[in-house]
Amino acid sequence: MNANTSLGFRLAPIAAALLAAFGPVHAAEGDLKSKITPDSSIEVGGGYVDSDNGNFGKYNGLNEKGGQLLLDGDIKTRDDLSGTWTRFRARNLGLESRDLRWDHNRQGNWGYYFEYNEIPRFESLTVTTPVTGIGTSNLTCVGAPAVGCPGAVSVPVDIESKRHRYSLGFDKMFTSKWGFNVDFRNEEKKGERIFGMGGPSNFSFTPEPLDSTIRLLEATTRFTDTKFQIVGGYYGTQYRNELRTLTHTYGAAGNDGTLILNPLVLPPDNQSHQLYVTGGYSFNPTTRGTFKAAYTQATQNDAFVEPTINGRTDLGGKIETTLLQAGISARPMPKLSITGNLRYEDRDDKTPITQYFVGTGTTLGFNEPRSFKNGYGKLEGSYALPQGFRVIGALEYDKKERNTYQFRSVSHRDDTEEISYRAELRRAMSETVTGGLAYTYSDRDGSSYYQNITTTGTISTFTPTPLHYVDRQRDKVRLSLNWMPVTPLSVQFYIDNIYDDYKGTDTNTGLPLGPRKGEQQVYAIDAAYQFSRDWQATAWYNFNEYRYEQLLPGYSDRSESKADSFGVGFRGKPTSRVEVGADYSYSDIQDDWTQALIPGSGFPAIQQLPVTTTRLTRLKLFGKYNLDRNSGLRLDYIYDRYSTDDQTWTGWVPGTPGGSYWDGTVISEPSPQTVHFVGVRYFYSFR
Amino acid sequence: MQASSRGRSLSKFFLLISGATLILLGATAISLRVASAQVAGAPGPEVCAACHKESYETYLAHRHSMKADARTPAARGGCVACHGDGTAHVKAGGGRGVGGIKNPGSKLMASDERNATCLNCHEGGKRMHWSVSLHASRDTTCTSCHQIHTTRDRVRDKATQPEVCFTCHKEQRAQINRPYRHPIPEGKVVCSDCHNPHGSVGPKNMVRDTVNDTCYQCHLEKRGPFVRTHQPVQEDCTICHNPHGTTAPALLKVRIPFLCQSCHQLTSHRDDAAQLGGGSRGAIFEARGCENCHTQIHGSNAPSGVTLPTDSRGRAFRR
Repeated sequence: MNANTSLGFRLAPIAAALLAAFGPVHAAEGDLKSKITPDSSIEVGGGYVDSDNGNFGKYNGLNEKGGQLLLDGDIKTRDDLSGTWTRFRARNLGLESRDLRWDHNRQGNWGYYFEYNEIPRFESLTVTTPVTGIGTSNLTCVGAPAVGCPGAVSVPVDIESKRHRYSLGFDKMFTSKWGFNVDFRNEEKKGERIFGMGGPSNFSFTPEPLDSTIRLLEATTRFTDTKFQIVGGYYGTQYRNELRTLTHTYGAAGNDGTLILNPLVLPPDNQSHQLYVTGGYSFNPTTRGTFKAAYTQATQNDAFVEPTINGRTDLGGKIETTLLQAGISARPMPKLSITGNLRYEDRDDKTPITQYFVGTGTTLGFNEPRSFKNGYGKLEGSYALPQGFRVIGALEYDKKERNTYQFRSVSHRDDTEEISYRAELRRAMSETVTGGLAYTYSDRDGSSYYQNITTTGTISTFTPTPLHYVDRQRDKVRLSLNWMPVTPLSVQFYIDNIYDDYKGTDTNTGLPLGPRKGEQQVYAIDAAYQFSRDWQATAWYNFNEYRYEQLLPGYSDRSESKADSFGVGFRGKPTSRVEVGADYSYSDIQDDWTQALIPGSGFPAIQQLPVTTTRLTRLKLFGKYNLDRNSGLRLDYIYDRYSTDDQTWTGWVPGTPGGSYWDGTVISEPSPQTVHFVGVRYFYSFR
Repeated sequence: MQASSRGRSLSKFFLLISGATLILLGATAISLRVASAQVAGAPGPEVCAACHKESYETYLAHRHSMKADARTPAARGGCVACHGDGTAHVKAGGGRGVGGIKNPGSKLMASDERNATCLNCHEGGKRMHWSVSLHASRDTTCTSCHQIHTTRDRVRDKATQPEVCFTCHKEQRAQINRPYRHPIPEGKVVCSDCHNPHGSVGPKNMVRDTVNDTCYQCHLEKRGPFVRTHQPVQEDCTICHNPHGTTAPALLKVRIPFLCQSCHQLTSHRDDAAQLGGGSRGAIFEARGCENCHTQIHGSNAPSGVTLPTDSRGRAFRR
């Protein structure tokens, strides 16, 4: 007798007994229906921001003092019989950061969606300028150039941009295993950003217009079987800049040192086309292989804005990229798991090399296409130990090859390779303590350096090594620990430390030069406590530190950023009608740039830069009161405080020799910025 | 480029891994296992509902319960599709793990076994590369991030997704509150816009094949190629930027000029210490720093300067 059949016969009376005992499940069918029908909701209300601000409202549209309409909705329907879903979701309809999406699909058959999304960016810096025409390709400023723009009045201007993103997609399953999908995105960006040009001692404020369109199209066909899955696809991208140049006319041409840079050339149109196939095959329940092959052609042939000595009217830029990947995971023995991964990428820049001008110094005026090759391999083994422990060993290899040209101002090496070894002890199977301790050692080196050389054959005195080329030894330690000593309490510890030792030298003298030390540290502790089904609290603390030291020809510098952050929060239901919650977070960030003159180097004295302190405080409170089963009121309050003593712009004011916009533009960052936001909404839910 | 011994070592390494792969395939073929047993005749969801009412209700509200879709658990027996044959469990009167009932959310199950429950149906599409992904090798399970018995899976909602990711990614939790960041707290950019947590062929689980291709989804104006290319820009955006947030404008890892000086040398102002108060040293630190002059740092498509034929301002990314 078949075992399943046998059990099936025995099950019938048991099921019948259970169903009889729990008859109310069916008796309350109407109640059940209401619980399983997708829930919809609409929220409408108003909010008020008490002050203009730069940081709090940078991306959410709450950057100006005043009232705001708060309108959100999420409406869902489902046809149980056919498995057809319809969903309309709208967020922040009353704000500049609004988005909405329509989904309609029949599960396992067809589906489509449409989405509209606005992503604003309001410049957090305050700008006062006499420059007009901002946002266009022609900037003007009336007045004599040497002393700003007398006669023109500086006025506050809003520098902002917004992305208007339209997305739509369609999916169709032709059979239970074979389907087709297409996604398209059209994103129009409007606005401008802070920008400038000039030098070495005169600078013009020239906000860059950003009006442009990005289009992404991806179409795939897929086959999905229990063992074998494969996707073949096309991915195309397109960038179209509405403006080609940026010209500024600030008074008479002459001594400002920036008019000679007219016109500034804006990013060119470009496009790419990719064909790819990717898949996976499960050889058996414990062994699986994956792969991907892709070919991409990216081109840039936007017309030049000015003539060249060779008669070319565009770059004719073309980059061909080939990607191959293969991976395998296997469990050859019950306790042993192996994962292997190989990846090869060849980015071949086939842009024609042409002389565009008669250069001197470190160039003869030819363009310099950049090609790369990257080979990556990984092999990892994991062996199960008693009590849910695993010991893991891994080997990674990463090789990069890059091209260069005859003359250069930054030293070069053809290739670098990095080998990493990782050992880890991990426990994943436990209800009380899980986590892992891992140590990784990485060693990066590469081929010999090419010295910097000019067109006259002069070899530079110093030959430092670019950060991503230089020999480096890295030690990395990571500890993560999740502890649940008792059911309502969970605690999480996390430590991630990286120590980098760079070995760059001046190839002429053999003396240390360039990047020296790097360090990254993260310490975190999180705790959550569930007081009851209705009350819970959380608390966390983070310490992040980043430090980087380098040795320059006449002095050394150390960039250091330290941040302490912590937060607490709770959620609760004091009564059946009331829900409350609070989240408080605080961050204190110290940025320090220490410079020290190397004794005897003969370099001029160095001014120490001030430490910059940035602090962010945010308190979010909410309360919900349910008027009845379907509706209620929600009250939100946010307190946000941002302060910084950053001096990036404080000294960049008219009258500062070599350190200001000659046109009289003043940029500053108000500090502190304190914002209070209050919002009240009425919500209604229905099914 | 120089043909070096390093090229040979790369070939050897790939050969080694390829060899190991073949051996593994052979070994695993020997240890071939039988697929999970049929569950015909096992108790249906209504039986389970007698004890697991809340789970039953959330199941019915979920896409998993749509029988019209032949791929769903509903079309394959209901609860048993994920939790295994519950016959013995029912017979024994229930209980945690009793009768061999499976709970893929249990931390007492091996992670690959837990994940196999979901991957039986969800291994295609964007989860194609899960088995060799970083998350899989770190014992991350589907239920580490996803809630199944709910209609509101927090990780699939833009407003709440980052909170789920920050359960493990603590450094990024702090970084997204830096002054210069992507609009992640506002839900306008979320982790899955750039990362595929289910695995990809790109580094760091990037949704595209490379870091740059991922960034180009929104920053296509940086791609070029340009007449004047800046090497690190073409290679990897993260050489200079930390996309999760920093205190330096434009999400730069280290403030200008210190970042620029990690590559550039004497002839390109490497000897210029930074200072406040104007002058050439002030101009490399204040305002836009080195970019005060080198405006088009991502590349310039100006073929030459206005004083043809010897003007090289385009090459210096000045226009």
